[in-house]
Amino acid sequence: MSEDLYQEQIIEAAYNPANMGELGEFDVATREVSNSCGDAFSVQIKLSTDKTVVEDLKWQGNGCAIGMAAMSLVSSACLKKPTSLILKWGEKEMLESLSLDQISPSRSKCMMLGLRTIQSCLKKL
Amino acid sequence: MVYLDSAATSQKPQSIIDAITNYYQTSNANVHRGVHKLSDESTAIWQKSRETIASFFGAESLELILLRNTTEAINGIAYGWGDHNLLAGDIIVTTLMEHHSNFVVWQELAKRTGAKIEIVAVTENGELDLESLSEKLSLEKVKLLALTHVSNTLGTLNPITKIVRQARELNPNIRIVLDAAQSAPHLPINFKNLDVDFLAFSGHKMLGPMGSGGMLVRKELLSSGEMKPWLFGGGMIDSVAVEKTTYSSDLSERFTAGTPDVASAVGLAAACDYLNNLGMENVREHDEMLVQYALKKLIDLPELTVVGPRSNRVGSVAFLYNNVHAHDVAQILDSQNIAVRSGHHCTMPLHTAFSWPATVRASFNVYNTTEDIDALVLGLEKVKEVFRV
Repeated sequence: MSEDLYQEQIIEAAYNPANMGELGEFDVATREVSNSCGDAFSVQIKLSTDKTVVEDLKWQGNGCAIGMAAMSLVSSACLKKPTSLILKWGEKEMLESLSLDQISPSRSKCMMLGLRTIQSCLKKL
Repeated sequence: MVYLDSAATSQKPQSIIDAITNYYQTSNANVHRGVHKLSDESTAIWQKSRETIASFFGAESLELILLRNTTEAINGIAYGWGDHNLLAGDIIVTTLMEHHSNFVVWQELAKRTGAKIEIVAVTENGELDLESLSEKLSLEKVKLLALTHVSNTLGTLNPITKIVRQARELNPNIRIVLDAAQSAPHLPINFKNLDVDFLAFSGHKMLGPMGSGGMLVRKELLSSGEMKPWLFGGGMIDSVAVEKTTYSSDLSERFTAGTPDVASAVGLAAACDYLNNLGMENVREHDEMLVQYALKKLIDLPELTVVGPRSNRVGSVAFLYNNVHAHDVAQILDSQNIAVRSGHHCTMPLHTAFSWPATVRASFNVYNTTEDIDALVLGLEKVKEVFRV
């Protein structure tokens, strides 16, 4: 399954990531590091006035193709979504967004870093 | 399968697997516990294995403490020596190229004792900065120098003889810890001649079974009581009373609390025999040939940046692949049945200092050949295809 990881859309998302950058104004921000490789993502989130919906989100960081693609896709998926929903997402949702059936335990860490960063940011609220 | 991850753990030759199986099939019983024949036999095997392992390292059997790995050994030094000999304000000198096991342990010891840590720098080309080392060793209150023999990321072979001589000249009371995890599988080691106080090693990286490793401690430190037991319970006591317990004066028992892993000791002793049969000089030459061959081949690839020095290296070659993350390179290689390590290899401070997000490491042992390295070079072509770089 190794090579199958690198489908067109993953390479595309990894090398042209969406929502990268910084927000002028934001409500909450955080940074997470992967303990297995040292890759790190930081994220800034702007919320709706009642603080229940993600209005805007930007992220920065460097990672492997899986990590970058996953962060790109999940960051887009978060826009205009309730924070309560995002906090429920896990490996199943990430596999779906990357159109993968399965992933090895070591690469799952890469795949999950983006979502983990966004969720830990939202948990700070 | 092309296995190029022996720096993480080595494969195990059949004679080692057979030795372990044979022990369980014919001699398994607890040691030092019974008067029955099987216990006697197991005890004799345990003692003989200890002698074989100690002798492999040019040490006496009583200087050997068998544990699970290098990390556990270095922790043992911190608990058995550090906690009893360091005071607030004392200095521990270590280096930027250390594995986390020879780094985090000292950070924790510093927290417990109030000692301070000074870090020796690494030069641009990945060698230990000997000027920085002299500077740190000349500080007042330096009590401990902890450094690696061979870097698990850079492959650098540190000039230990010269460093030990200098350290002892500057500070006759200094204690020296040598992390031999990456040198013991490839180089002849003589604990006595190295003149260090503690040497930690991983048996599983030198053809021995998983969960085998340990340390050698200079016997004067054991007999004087400077190094104290840090694991307590059965097997290591002299006498136990409600009021007070005294510990075994037999140094080979004093540091082995609880039932030891006899089978792993048997396996590790078989690994020492295996390496002795090959001859450690031959093992060293084979490694040098592989490392030089890999360096030559990999440096020629324009898409790679090889890290570490160009000579005086042992065991491995690590590199960065332009614009492709180490994990992705390793995954593409894995799809061609080539196993390498990717990541920070438990040397985050080094990776941070050089601004490397992660590196790919190919590492070798006695069973590797130049064909394995050719397969790696060919396998890297596929990275170009998939990532169109």
